[in-house]
Amino acid sequence: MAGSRKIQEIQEEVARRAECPETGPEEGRTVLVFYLADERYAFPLEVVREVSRVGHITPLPGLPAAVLGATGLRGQVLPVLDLRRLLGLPEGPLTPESRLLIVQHEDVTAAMLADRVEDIAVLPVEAWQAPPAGAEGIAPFLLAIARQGEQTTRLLHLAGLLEAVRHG
Amino acid sequence: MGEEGVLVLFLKVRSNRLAVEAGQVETLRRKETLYPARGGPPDLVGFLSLGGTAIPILDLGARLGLGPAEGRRGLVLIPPPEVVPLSFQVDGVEGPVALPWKQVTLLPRLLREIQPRPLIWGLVWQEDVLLPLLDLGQLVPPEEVSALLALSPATGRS
Repeated sequence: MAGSRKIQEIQEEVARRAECPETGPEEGRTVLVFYLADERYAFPLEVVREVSRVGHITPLPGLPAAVLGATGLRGQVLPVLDLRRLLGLPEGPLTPESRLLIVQHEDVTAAMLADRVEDIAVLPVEAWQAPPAGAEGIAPFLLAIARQGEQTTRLLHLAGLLEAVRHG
Repeated sequence: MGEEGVLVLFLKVRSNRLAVEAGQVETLRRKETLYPARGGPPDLVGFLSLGGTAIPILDLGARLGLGPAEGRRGLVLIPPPEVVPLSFQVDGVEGPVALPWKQVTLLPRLLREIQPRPLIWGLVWQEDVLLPLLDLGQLVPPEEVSALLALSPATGRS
């Protein structure tokens, strides 16, 4: 379960799976679960390359507000995007639990700032629902919603988020 | 840019350090002679006389959204006219410094694809910190450059 796993174990697991991606488990969808403004979100694990602590972020003036800046990760320069701002959520502070999710879509790699990472999870097929239709709020950025009891997990559409950044 | 890398100037703008390719700066001046600005955008702090032509001075920090324009003394960067026929007030300048190519990187691809084109074209590694490389030619849209030049007083002296 999420809370008992150390963040380092999660980071190692993400890195291991990025090296050796699983081929389509039929029983559910494997995701990386994280939190933004006390709500549960997820990326499909296949788009997550790494989870990293938040290092120095160089502000880049003149770019959209969702672009926090750039950071260097083992010699590679990555754009740092604020997921809260991209999704129109209230601003939140950086905390020791904040993490950068290093995600990749095609040949674009970016670091997404999350409040905290929970765990890798396999959410069963029957839990998933189509996202609400509409262009308001976070709706355009949702791939699906998973409901398990009281718990709701919003699966984010990475390509849609990156496209929003390109158009400011 | 040389074969060995890029010659850059480091700019101090408020609490920020930025870099600019040295070829984008033709002249560096103390902000001494200043003709006051009447009207214009809030980052227009005045005009300097260069060869009998009045050149608008913009506060770079204000232009970049780093704070309101400040009228205090500083340095003024004057780019070659083909880059942009304006000048920019900064708090300080270091360099030029020749950086090897390995210390210079383009903006990550996602940021290069942002429209309108970013004011920054790259980043430089300086003592394990990344600094933005500004493109002075992208700071002011062409139509605004024309409007600023139209505000310039006739100085008739240098």
